[in-house]
Amino acid sequence: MAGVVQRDPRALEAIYDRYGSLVYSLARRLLGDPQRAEDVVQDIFLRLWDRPQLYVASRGQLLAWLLTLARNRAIDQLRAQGRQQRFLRSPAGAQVEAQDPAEEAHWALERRQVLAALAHLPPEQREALELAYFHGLTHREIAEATGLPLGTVKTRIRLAMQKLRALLRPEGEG
Amino acid sequence: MDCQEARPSLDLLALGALPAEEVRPLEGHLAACADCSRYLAAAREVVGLLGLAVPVLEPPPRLKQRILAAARRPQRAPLGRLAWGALATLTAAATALSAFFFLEWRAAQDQQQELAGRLSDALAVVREHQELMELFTIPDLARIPMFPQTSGLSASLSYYWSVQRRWGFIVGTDLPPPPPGRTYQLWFLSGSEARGAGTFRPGEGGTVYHAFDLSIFPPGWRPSAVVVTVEPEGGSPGPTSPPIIVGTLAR
Repeated sequence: MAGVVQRDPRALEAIYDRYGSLVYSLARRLLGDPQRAEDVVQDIFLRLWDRPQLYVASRGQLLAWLLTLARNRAIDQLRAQGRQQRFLRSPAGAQVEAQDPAEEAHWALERRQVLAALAHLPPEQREALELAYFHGLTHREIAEATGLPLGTVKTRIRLAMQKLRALLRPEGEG
Repeated sequence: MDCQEARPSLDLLALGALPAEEVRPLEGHLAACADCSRYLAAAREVVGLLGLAVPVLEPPPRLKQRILAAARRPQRAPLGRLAWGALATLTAAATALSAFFFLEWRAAQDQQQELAGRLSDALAVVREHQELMELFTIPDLARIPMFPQTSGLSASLSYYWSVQRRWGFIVGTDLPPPPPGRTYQLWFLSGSEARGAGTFRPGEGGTVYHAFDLSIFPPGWRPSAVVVTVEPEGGSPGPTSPPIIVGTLAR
């Protein structure tokens, strides 16, 4: 990151080489459209280039930050499309069961941990979590979509998050 | 609101699953509570890593080239793109600015830990907008409209320049992204001579802002037209395709 702050394009290139495929993959899966996914990735990496101070290292790793930006950008676009189109997309469950094609990448271990943690969740908690994360639905929208009481949706998401937190950040707060 | 009330909502907040009206009361508590802020930061880190769960696809190589080419461009004005689109189409200004600030707000909401930085960022944008508005008060600022040359293109561009400041720019809306591996390039023509004034890509919503120093022209050189062509990524030394947008300059 220091290289990006110093406006060294090679530093940006190194970050792109390391994380570009992950950011692209997430944007592509959320949006479905390769061109729009490319636009999201370009937007994010140029934002990092133009405003590197927005990333605060002490608050978390760069990969999580980039993925959060990609997800937010993509969800904003999905929300702009309207809720109905969001539901026409493929089921989110299919998104966490693909083979890992990047075993050699340095983040492969972390990815396996995330997949294992998600697999560890009860199906109903995972569904609620995925509707929020992959489809960008609020708890009320999830309740409407699934026909479940709002309190049940909130509880499922909270339990899912608590388990993920325990599995992925055993040293974390809370 | 105290910690006991706030905690159950923080995981939902980290996921972006809270409606806006439920976010506001939490923000007040988070601003005053370090424990809950730490809890939220940890939850956001977990949410961030959920993106690792998707199947990994390789992006096309052109994407990397595009990003690096844009990063190396000296006159990037990333946060000004929407503003310029708004200025070019004043009737759309409110909509564009609202969308822009919504995105800024949304980003700030989702990344509480960056709030201070983003507020500073937003203030910089406001300053930038003010500066842009001031540009239009330059006494000798001149403008010509530029017209699409193909029926399928509905882009609306204008070329502005100030002789006094030796500075010009094109601004406009509705320009579609160039084909893969290609970019737009701006040229000034005089007789058979063409002088390049840089490559550019439209921003969100097809907005265009591309500025350049008129000192690129030799003294006494008087162009008769300003045109846009589609060129290979990185630009060409001379136009390799017919102009798709043309503005005629008075001689």
